[in-house]
Amino acid sequence: MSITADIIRGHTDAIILSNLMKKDNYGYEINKAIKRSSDGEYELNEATLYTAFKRLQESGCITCYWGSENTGARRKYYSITPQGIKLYKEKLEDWKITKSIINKLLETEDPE
Amino acid sequence: MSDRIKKYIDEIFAKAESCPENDDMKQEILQNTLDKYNDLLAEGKTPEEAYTAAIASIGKLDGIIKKNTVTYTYTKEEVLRDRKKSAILLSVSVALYILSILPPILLDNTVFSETLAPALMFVIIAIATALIIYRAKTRLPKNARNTIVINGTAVPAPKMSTLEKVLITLGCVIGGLILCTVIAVSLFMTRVVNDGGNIAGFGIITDTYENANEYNVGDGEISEAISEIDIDWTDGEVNIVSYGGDTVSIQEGQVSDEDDMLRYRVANGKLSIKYRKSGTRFGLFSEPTNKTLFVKVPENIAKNLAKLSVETVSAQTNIAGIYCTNELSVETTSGKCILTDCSASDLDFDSVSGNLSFNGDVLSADVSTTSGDMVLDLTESIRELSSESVSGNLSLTIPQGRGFTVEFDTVSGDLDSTAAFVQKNKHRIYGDGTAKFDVESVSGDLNISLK
Repeated sequence: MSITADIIRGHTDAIILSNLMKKDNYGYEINKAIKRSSDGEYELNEATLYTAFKRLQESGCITCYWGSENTGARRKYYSITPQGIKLYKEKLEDWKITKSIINKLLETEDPE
Repeated sequence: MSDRIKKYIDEIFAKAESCPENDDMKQEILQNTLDKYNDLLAEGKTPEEAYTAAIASIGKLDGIIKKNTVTYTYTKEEVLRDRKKSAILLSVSVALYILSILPPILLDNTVFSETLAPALMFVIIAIATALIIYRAKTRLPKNARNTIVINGTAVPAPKMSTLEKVLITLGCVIGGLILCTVIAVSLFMTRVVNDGGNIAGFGIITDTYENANEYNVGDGEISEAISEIDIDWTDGEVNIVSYGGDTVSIQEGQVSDEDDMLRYRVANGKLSIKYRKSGTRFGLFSEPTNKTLFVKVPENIAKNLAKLSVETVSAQTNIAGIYCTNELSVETTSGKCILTDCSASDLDFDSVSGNLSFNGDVLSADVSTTSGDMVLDLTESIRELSSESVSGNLSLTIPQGRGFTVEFDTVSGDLDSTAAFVQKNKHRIYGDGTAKFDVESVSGDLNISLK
């Protein structure tokens, strides 16, 4: 489990970007979606999440704005930029290649 | 319970710098955590469980929050001034710590040794400590000391040049010396008061003489033949008299410290007497007071002494009934000299402010003084006299039958005489004019009376 978590953590940026590809969203909802998609196996903490947002903002991949909820709670929404979309696609391609390589590497050695 | 979450997050951000970035982050994290908490409650968790889980999901924010650190920007001059100031303060403090033992040393064996001395020591230590604390409190922040800003860019501060280091060190040494002197002088003054003003020396006194180890310590009786006496006495009194005994007797009364006792030695018929142990002394000290020297010389020796010389600083010299076939010499700084019924072929007197009173038989007299007065009561034997003075007066008493020639060379001194002179050039001649008196002065008067 811990090894899996480490591998996933290396893809935090891509995971967030993939979430924002669907729609603008705020931190907690994104985290909830991650938890849901991973069947409750994986969840980011606030610190990791916030660091990732900050990093992506600085590299111009996402922008943010304060939402105007009626409930009174102010939420910061994140929105993906064209650059973010480009990065997401690169990351996705990278992962596909990596995945296939790892698959090959692990599978060729496994039958023996 | 949501208040508890808010409070928890407030605490995390308590030390954070107040800036839009941190405020936004706080707002966002608070909202996310509250959302999570509410969701957990909705899932059926107890408030306590939900709180614990929500808080746990925050993670470590230490690295993300902008800390309340002020960035220091100082100019090169400010950084260098700070260094210099701190170096001086530190040096002075260390110097003070070292000097703090001075009062106990200097005031040892005085009434202050258990009161003022330790008090001064602790005062000096307190000042040194205060300086060190002051230095620490007024220094530039540690991270600012090695970085300076030039045109908005932070660069490492320049290292101190060797010259600067040397200058600062020199400055500190000189400062320390001045401080040391001030302390020493104030202690000296204290001690002067303490000793009733009876201070003989402060600083270095060199009082060394040759063959010091051959000298006897303290009073003594000498039965050997003596033809010459040489006395070196600093303070107190020197008395040299002839008496009916057989031995030369030397006495100085009670002296407690052996170092302070007189020293005497006889070599080749010469008796030498010294004030105290030979050596160089450093520091602050008072001389033993009232050291009165009595040298009693048997009559047969007193009448045939070849030479007697006395040298003093402030001691009074009294000589009576001593006849020197050659020279009688007295040299003093401020001591009074009274020579009664003495004779010598040559009389030699030299003083700064000491007075001379002489009566007796001399062939030739050579006397000089700066401000001392000299009174000479002479006999027919006088052949020549040479006198020099600045403001000291010279009084001569000459037997009526003795003719003499006076040459008085003075700036403002007056000549007063009962003798009827014959003026010839610069000379005043009385009687046959045989004896030659050569008197020089700046403002000192010359008085010649006949008896």
